[in-house]
Amino acid sequence: MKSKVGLISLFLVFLSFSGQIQAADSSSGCGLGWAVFKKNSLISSALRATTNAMFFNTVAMTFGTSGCARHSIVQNDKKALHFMDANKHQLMTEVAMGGGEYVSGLGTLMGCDETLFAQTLQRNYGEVFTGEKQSARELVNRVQAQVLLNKDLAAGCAIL
Amino acid sequence: MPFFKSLFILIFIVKAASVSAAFLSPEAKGRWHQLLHFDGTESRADDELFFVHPEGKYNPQLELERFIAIYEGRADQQKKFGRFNLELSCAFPARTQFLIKEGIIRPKSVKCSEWDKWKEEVSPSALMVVFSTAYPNNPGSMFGHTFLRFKKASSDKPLLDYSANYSALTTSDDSGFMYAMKGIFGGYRGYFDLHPHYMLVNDYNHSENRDLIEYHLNLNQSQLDFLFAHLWELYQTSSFDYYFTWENCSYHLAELLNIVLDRPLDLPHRWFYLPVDLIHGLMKREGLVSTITQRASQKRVLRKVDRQSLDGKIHYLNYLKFQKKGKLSEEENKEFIETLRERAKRGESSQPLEFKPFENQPHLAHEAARLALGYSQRREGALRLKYRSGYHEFLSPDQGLESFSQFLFLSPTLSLGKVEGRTKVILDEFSLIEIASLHPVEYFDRQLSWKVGARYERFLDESRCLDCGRFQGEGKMGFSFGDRGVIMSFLLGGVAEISGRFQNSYRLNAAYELLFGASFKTLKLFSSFEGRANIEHFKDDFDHRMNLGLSGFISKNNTVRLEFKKLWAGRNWRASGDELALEWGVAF
Repeated sequence: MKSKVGLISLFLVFLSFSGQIQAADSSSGCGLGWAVFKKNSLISSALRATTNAMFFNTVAMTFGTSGCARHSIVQNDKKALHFMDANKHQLMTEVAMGGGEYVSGLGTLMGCDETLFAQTLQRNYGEVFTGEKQSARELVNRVQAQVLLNKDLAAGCAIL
Repeated sequence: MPFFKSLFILIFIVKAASVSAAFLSPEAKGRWHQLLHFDGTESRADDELFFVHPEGKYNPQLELERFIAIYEGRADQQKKFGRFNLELSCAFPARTQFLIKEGIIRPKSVKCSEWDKWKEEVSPSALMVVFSTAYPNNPGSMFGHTFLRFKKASSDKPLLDYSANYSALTTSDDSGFMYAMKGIFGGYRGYFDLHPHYMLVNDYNHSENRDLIEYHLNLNQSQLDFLFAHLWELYQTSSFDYYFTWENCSYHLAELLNIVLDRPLDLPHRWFYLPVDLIHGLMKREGLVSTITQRASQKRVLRKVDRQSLDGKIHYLNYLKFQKKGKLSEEENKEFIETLRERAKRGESSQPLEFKPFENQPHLAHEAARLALGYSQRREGALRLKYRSGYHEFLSPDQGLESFSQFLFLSPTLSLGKVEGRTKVILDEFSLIEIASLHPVEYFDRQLSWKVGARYERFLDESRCLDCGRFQGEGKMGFSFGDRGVIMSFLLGGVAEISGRFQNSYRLNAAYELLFGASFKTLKLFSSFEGRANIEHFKDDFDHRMNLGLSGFISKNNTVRLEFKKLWAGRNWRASGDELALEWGVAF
């Protein structure tokens, strides 16, 4: 290994112009949970280089509000919140378009009938997405409110 | 006295049992070494938490004996292991399972709440190796990236699965130079980590616009469970020195997969290992890959949708939002919100977009190194041996790769021909590094095309010393137009040349370059026309050069090339040298 390292030592210097050697993964949110635990502070994104166009919405996620346990898995009671926080913009577009993988994912996390869930949210788009600066918590609350208002949907939703 | 005799016999039995227990069959020993990531000399794991014996990194036998001793309560009884301070069998469930299966230790009941929670939440029922295609904006990720997705037993929603990623933990205050240096010399630590799959889709698919290609592996439940148990061990006890070109994400994923395969995945016979090598390794193993699925990047979606439609506008503005990291202008934001509301009012649901298999699926790509034998008409006719290492060349088949891109490093060309009247072997060319990304302008993306390189090459100019060489560094930027099949680029920049044959031993040139390429299934044409002018003697020291290349593909790894170069010097375009070469090359 060391000889290989020597062999390539010159050429990669030229890569330095980019200033952006990829750290393979630049994601934040759940991840390196033990580091969260050890440092007892922010999530791993604080420790990682923002090498690429990091997903803008997740930089605000912090341990405790996003629901990541120290072992990288999302806590059961915070799954919908974490999903909303990470995928807010995908959800906005899919709700408007009447469904898709993200809406279906959120519906599943809430234990709802997927088709009815998508239809209900699309019909009440303006009630759920009211402004640019809504928090994930507010959005989840508004989604839940719409679910509750639809008796057929609410009857089959596990979270309610 | 009988008491002491019994005690002595008991001690003898226990001692004998512990020694004999530490012997493994050759096959089991191989598996134990794999679990320790032992390469014959030392373990590749670089974290002391991964070992229960102080010498464990270098001595798998001592590690085995200590592991058994601790498990059986004969040593380190109070000790906890890993970053979560767990019981031995909770920190190392794969090692424990393995030794139980080998009949070396007996099962015992231990409650492992952390490990159980992990296992229960992820509940892996299938495994995919996910390839994130190249990210041309960043040379460090032009090779692509790989990670694992574990399909959840109770779910058919890929976004809700978990993915395991091996990545370098970097610090944001390192300069580009430090990134490169640390990457070469193992200055970063690599860690295995777990994320909800949607986090990685966000990063790679949406933010970086990289297609994701998934290779579904044929593994049974016990293989999956064992692999996952070992992943847990790595996750909470280990880290590795991270090397960009060898011990990288794909190398460590291969090592992880090897734990449950009959024999290790093939490594390429060369000094570097790239993500595409892992995919080739999987595909070469008969029956290992069952199906291939794909997830389109936002750019690919935008090429598919009608840009005038409401859905097209929404996709575009959503793409823009990701590109601007959430900060749309007031006007764009207003348009986005209004379009979404209008679309919601319409009420019907959009049909999912369907795509043909992507042309950049990495298993379609040629191998990453190439050796070619050829003939050049220079030096009264010379045999030529060319070695190319890297990812892709302008004249290589584009299937499975970003078309019209180039990434080469440490690539020499040797010629056997006449030098000063005597037949000699001479280094004609040595590419230290050559990177080019010709990126066609699209309505949603006006990204620049660029080309950088540093190489040594012989003069083509007959008025200079043909046997003399020069060092050359270039950097150019511009725009490209076209698509995957045909491209035309116009670049501007500079070229610095160093040689004793120049006045002051160097020449600094302003340069422009026109490039044209056409790519077909079995044929590719790539040509360039470049003008250089010495910025210190602009009026009388300039030249133009043309490269014409035609490549025929017998197969993706077996190609022939015909190349013609011509140089014109000075104001009156004096023909100053040319070269015609034919070569046959094999990628490996």
